Amino acid sequence: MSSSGQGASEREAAFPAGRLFRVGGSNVVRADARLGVMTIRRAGDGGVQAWWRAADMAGDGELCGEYAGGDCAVERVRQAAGGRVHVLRPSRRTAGASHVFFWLQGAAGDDGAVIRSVDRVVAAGQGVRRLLAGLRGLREALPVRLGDVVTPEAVAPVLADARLAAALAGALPPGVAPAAAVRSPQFRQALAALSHVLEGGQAGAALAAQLGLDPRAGSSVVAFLRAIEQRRAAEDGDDQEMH
Amino acid sequence: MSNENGNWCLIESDPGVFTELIHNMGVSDVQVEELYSLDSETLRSLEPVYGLIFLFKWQGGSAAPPDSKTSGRSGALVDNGDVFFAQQIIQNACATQAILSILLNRAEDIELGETLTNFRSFAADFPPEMRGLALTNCDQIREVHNSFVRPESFLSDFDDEKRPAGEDDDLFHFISYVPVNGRLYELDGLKQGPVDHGASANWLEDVGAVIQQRMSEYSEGEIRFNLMALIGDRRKLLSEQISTVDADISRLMAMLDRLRLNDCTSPETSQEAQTVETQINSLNSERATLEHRVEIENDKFARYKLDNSLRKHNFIPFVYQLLNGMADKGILSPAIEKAQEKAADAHQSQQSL
Repeated sequence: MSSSGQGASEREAAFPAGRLFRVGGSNVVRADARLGVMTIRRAGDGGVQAWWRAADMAGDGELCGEYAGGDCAVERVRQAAGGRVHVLRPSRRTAGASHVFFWLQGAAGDDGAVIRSVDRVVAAGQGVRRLLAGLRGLREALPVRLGDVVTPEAVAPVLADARLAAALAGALPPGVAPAAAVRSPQFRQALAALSHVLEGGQAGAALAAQLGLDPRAGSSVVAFLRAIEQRRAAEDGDDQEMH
Repeated sequence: MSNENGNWCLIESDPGVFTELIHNMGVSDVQVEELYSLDSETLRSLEPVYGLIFLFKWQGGSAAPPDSKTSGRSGALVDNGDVFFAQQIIQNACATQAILSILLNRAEDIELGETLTNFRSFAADFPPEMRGLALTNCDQIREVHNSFVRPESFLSDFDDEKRPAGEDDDLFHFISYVPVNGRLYELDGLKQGPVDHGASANWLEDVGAVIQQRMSEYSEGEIRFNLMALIGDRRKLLSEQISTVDADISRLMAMLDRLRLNDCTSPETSQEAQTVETQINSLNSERATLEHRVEIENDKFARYKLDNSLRKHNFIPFVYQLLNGMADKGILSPAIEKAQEKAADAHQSQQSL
């Protein structure tokens, strides 16, 4: 069986290991005696995956754990005698993310190197994650103006839809066409005021709640828009879970 | 929550707002016009002019309003029983107060309506400060004023924290100029009394110089000016002028008929008929010009009506429906991303400054 070092890189670490599983809903984990290979792998988007296969099988085996954004860490389980039981767990409490318990099956002297190789993959995942989050975070963190989202050009497809346009006309004073309203200075001012309300505090939460959205949707313009998007998608009836 | 504005909301300084404001207070046949020139020819073309409003706007954050005791060097402060003068108590009411300063001093020339007539008699014997207080407390006037609240205020239902006056807020000050009993007065609510700029046979000739003098006291960068005139209803005046022209045309047409009927051959008659025809043509042309001016006024009032209805409109349902529509069409995400790019670019260029 391959010892540590083989497959060790920043993207992947593969090593002999067996699994342990929780007993029922308890805190007790029991070892599965089978010999196998654990592969810890970093995906392109910075996520980390843990795969396990029985030693006599080919391929990757089964996916036992997945951590979005590489948000995970590997630790030795101190309560286990012998010091060879480890766990790959999420860094923060995240619903659905699992703990992957494994026991090292290679030469005991290689244990240190094996765990370092896993650390390298995990850390690299976090390095990418931070980079991506930094970029994404900046873009998500900068306040966005509603006026920049709801431009006359951007809403044109909605106004071109006769049914939607008729409904919109109903939300305007009599005799005002939606196309004219969207270009009016009063509408622009209303968008600016709405952006201000949405960028913080009780006022935004109250507004979101008034529209039947989660109060947190009122914490920023982007949060508000995403909430509307999500609710619309849910109302569509498509129940696809997105990974 | 500080109540220094005593429940008077900030309204826009716009001729359409002011025109409808005056009308909703019960005044007849008066409109407010924005002026871009102070020359007497322009002013005369708008007659009857009841008064002028001079608006100072300080760009937020810059120099504070000059001490009203020292500004306006010409003219003398007077304690004059002739003039209805009220001190300004509330900042947000200053536009309405400036308008009222003119209206209440032209009671003989204007149909004030019940509300303002009553207010004038009620406050007639009060000293200026009490008149100011009376105005502040006049519910009817305040309600009409507040009905023109700026569009973003409809969100004040949700706004627990009142937006503090910040760098973006402009400071306004309004001064009125009005002729009373042959003298030109300047009415500034922040002063102790009216300022007398002297006797004036034709105040429209003299007021230009007075205002220019005032403007010269400020440096260009710190301040912007707007000028508005309270004038007689244009369409009413124009329609009276059209009636007069029509009457003249009818008279001349009748004359023409008689001339043609009596003697078609004599050269004198023929000459006279031609003269009359020329006059009729000229009157028709004048009539067309007047009709055109009526159209301009109609268009302007239609625009005022539209703007005022949009000002008072709560756009939240419209925006919400629009956003849902964008989500349905799958165009909301791209629009968000575009806006985020824009914000990121702006952020970048700010960083590199």
